[in-house]
Amino acid sequence: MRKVALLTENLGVKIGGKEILRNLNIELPERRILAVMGPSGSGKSTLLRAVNRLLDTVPSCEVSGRVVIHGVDAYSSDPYKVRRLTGMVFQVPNPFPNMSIYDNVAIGPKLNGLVKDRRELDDLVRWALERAMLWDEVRERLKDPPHKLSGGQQQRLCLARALALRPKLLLLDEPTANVDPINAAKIEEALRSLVETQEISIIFVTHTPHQAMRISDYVAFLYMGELVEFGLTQEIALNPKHELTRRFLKGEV
Amino acid sequence: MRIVRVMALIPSIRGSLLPRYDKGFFLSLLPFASIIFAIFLALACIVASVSQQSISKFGVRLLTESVWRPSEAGEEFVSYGLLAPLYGTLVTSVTAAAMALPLSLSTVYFMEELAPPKLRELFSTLIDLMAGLPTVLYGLWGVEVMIPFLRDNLMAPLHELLPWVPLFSCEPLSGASLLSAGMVLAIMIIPFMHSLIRDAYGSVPMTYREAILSLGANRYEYFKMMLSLIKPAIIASLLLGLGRASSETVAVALVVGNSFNVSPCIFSPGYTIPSLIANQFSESNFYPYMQSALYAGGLVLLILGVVFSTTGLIMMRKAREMYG
Repeated sequence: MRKVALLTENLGVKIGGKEILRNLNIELPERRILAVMGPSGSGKSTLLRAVNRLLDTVPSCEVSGRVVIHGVDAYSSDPYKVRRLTGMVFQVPNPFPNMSIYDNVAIGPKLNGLVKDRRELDDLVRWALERAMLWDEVRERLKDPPHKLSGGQQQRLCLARALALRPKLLLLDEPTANVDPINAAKIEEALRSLVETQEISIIFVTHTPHQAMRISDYVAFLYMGELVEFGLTQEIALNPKHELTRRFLKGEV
Repeated sequence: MRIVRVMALIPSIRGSLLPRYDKGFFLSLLPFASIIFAIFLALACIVASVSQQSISKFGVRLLTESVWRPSEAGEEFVSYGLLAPLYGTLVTSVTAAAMALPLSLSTVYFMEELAPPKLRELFSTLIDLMAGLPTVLYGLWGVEVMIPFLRDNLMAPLHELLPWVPLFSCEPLSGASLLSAGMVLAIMIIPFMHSLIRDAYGSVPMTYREAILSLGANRYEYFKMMLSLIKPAIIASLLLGLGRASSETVAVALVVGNSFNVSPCIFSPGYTIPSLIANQFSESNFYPYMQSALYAGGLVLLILGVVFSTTGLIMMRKAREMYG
């Protein structure tokens, strides 16, 4: 029996009185990839931000229900600790422009006191860059500013930045939406190998069903803030239970 | 023919052939637009040419001596040195900027991250109001309230406790001093620096804020990283604040003490170039070289102002380019 990486119970989100997410129940086992798919405005990004409590910074936002990450109840513990447990990669590559490539990866461990000395930090940075499949391209220029990298490389740098926190759960918000196909493939490959070799689970938001089917073990289909269908990817791909899911997979919604 | 050449210099006009009526409009505005540059050039020329007389008479001594001795008796008794006012200008404006920066940063954080929207609006109106008040009011307030308060509660105790520290080595007499002037200036430039920093802070895209938070940064770390993202704008606000402070006249004249004094002690009265000009210009006609020496002070101010402003504006542009 695998441990549970993420559990949501009746998770609901209201922003300014408007319901964005309603009654979400998801259970993701450890070391699996969950693809969250759905059309724009279905609440995919909000779900990620409810998990790592980035929603705390949104005024007039109410979260109800429970989120449990590796046994830690997110909303009854320290938000900084929750975010440390969950690295995040965003839709637009956003490495910090005022820091070198190295420092972009090193900043997370530094903030959270994950390393004792410089050598340990060097090792961790290298590990994270290797896992993000970027090390070979940047090993000679770790001191360069990140804007010298291509967009796809920048996104992999952001992946490395999140990985350097050694998170249990990695949240990715359409990470390949602004990236060329080759880099997108590299990112997908990196994610696959992460769950196969590391103690990590991944939630991957995407609006393209193909990508969801390609890389995930589980699929959650969101529509207008509701979880229409959740289950093993293979089952949903072959035999979606819900009409809406069927239509989304065909590209009709 | 000449007009055509002028127009060729202006890119937006060069590309497209304007219809006749637009051309007329453009030409009719040209003199008004160029008059501003002409005035600036004329100003610089006049200041430089009037100060010429004292510069050729006193040379470097104008900047290295602090004896200010007007005399009607004869040229050999006359001596003008701007060292004390120059020193005072720099000390007061650096003090002001150094005090204003942390205060501006904390009001920015308070308003952007902590204050509820209503309070934020009230605060921002107040700050704009502060920036628009006539500066002489700050000077009057400084004389009446701040100077006695500072003398009794800050300067006197510091002097008694740490008399061996050069900064605090002299006994505060009236309280009018370089420190008082620096503080009045700080209060005056806070609204200015605050709004420059706040604009930059507000322009940092949401995605960087989320990235910082997603790394598990607490509030303090978050603020520190946000500030490092807008570092060029902070430096720009410092430089532009310095420029403002070094050119302020009346408020400083009221609180600085107006005495020719180059002392490391910030409790001692001093002078600044603008307050010197304001105090002495009316009688400068009676003494040889005096007016020219005051103009030389003006020239120094002009150079300081141009240096602070251009570097500040370059930094500001850099800050704007960072986030499109």
